[in-house]
Amino acid sequence: MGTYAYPKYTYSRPTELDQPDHKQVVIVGGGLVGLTMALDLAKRGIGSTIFDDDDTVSVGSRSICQAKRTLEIWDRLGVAAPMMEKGVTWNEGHVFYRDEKLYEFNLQDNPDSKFPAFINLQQYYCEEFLVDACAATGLVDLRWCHKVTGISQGDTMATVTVETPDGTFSQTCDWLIAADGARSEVRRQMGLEFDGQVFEDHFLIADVIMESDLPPVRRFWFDPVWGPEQSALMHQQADNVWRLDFQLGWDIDKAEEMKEENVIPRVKRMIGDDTPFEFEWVSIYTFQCRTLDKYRHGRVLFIGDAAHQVSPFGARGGNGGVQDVDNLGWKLAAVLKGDADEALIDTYDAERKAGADENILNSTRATDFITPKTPVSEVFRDAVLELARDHAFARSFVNSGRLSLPKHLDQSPLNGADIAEDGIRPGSPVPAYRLADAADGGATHMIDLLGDRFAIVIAGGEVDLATMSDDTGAKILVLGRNLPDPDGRLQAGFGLPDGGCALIRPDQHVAARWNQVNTVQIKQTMQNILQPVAG
Amino acid sequence: MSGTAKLEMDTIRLGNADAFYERLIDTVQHMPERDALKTMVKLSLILANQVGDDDVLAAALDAAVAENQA
Repeated sequence: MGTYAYPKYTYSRPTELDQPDHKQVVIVGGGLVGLTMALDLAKRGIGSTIFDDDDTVSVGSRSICQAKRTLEIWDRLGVAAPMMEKGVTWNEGHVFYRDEKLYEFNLQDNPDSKFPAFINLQQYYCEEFLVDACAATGLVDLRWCHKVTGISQGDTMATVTVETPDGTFSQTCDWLIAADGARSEVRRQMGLEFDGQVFEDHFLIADVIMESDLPPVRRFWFDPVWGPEQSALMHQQADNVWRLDFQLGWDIDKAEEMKEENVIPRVKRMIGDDTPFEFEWVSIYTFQCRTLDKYRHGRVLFIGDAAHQVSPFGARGGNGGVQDVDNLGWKLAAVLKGDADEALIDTYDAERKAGADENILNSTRATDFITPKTPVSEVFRDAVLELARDHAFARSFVNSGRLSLPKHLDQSPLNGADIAEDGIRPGSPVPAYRLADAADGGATHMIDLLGDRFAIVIAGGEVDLATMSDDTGAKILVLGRNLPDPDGRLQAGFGLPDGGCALIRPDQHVAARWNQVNTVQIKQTMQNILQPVAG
Repeated sequence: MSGTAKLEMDTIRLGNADAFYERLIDTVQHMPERDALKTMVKLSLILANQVGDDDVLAAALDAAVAENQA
């Protein structure tokens, strides 16, 4: 018996069967990433229509590790609170080799953070909360049992063919966002190929329900003595569901391995004979590390697993997809509102392709360490693990997955002027600094104040807030005035001299830093961002 | 990652090269091949951490590969 009651969302006969219309934004796929996309656009006043071929959330726990940056983005979208309440918070990982624990590590790199390094929350819960949040905006038209089966496009719009239980219709839109996952029908219809690597290995996921007083940490085993598996992973999720993940190897009989009589002994070897459990979900998966060459194809934009895929080691799949949304949302909204040139959309491609390449690099390295491909590389790995038992330096070589972090957009074409080596450089996300005192509206952290539009952080001075805000259209935050900084920590963090300033993009990444406030310069940089040179 | 550091390949930096070489051989010669390889890997990693210079290490690796191909 499962712990989760899957909601059944209502299908309605589409009015487009009788009266075709045109939409600004259509999103194909109402999963974790597609829903976040719709919510981000809605928060910026842009309506969208989601076509999903199902009438419920994702089946099975699937993506469970929701990273700090994802939580910050969901917080900006107003949906982090129920996730935090339901999820299992964790910061620590424990690494085991054969019969002993090698070491522990802590992923919380910033004690000031508003959020933990991770929460574990089943994808179905995340999607349910996102559906509720989308519905509450009044700007997201969620269409269940609407299956996209065809696509074509011209210079200024895309057209999709949509099948429903009541018939088929054509839907035109200004922009089509493909968020339809690893088996993307949009990608298939457009004949686009992935580039990358397919790994020859199988992994078994057994999500089990059990009572346990084990602390909520990530546990990873290399060559556990209790089983024939080459590696194994254990995570606690909400509702006393535990994710047990076993590496099976390539030459297996999947149907045989899925049989309960074969899964039960595996689980018992890991958790012990005396702990009662029930199965919640069992699945066997393989994985790929690969990406599309580009994510913008005319009026079609690819996000999440439809654009790129990674191994699960590092939790970079769903979290990477949410970072795609964070990058694309403000750009698409600015273009649709007429505030930006269409060339801004091309920078989504440049910035997030770099993010995906980084994720794929990390994911591939982790996979190669966890599953050595030759006897020699296995000796190397074992040498590292044996050294890591007693020596901290060797732990830096141990790779059970480099866990998801925000991407620093160092090579972004949108990065402007800079003044120093210190502090948050252009292209970097603003850390979640805790404020010394609660600020306007009860904000406790820097990211609460930044919001989702341009912001300018100024290190003191006599700036007229209202005038400058009117002039630039940005939110003006002056350290020591409307941004408490009694100990100078924020100023040092931003690397600003007295009177200096930083321009922050609507996705909370630093765009530029200057030694002094020059409104003309700032406005020119904002203009360069919104009207980038095409190509 | 290729190294650009200049390696001191034509200068003897060890105080007693014979003694070190003898110890190296004594250490691995009676080991099974896998254990010998693992010991050399550990030695490489310990030395790499001691050197601590990515560029020097990359140049050293390049040089080792090049010597194999010579």
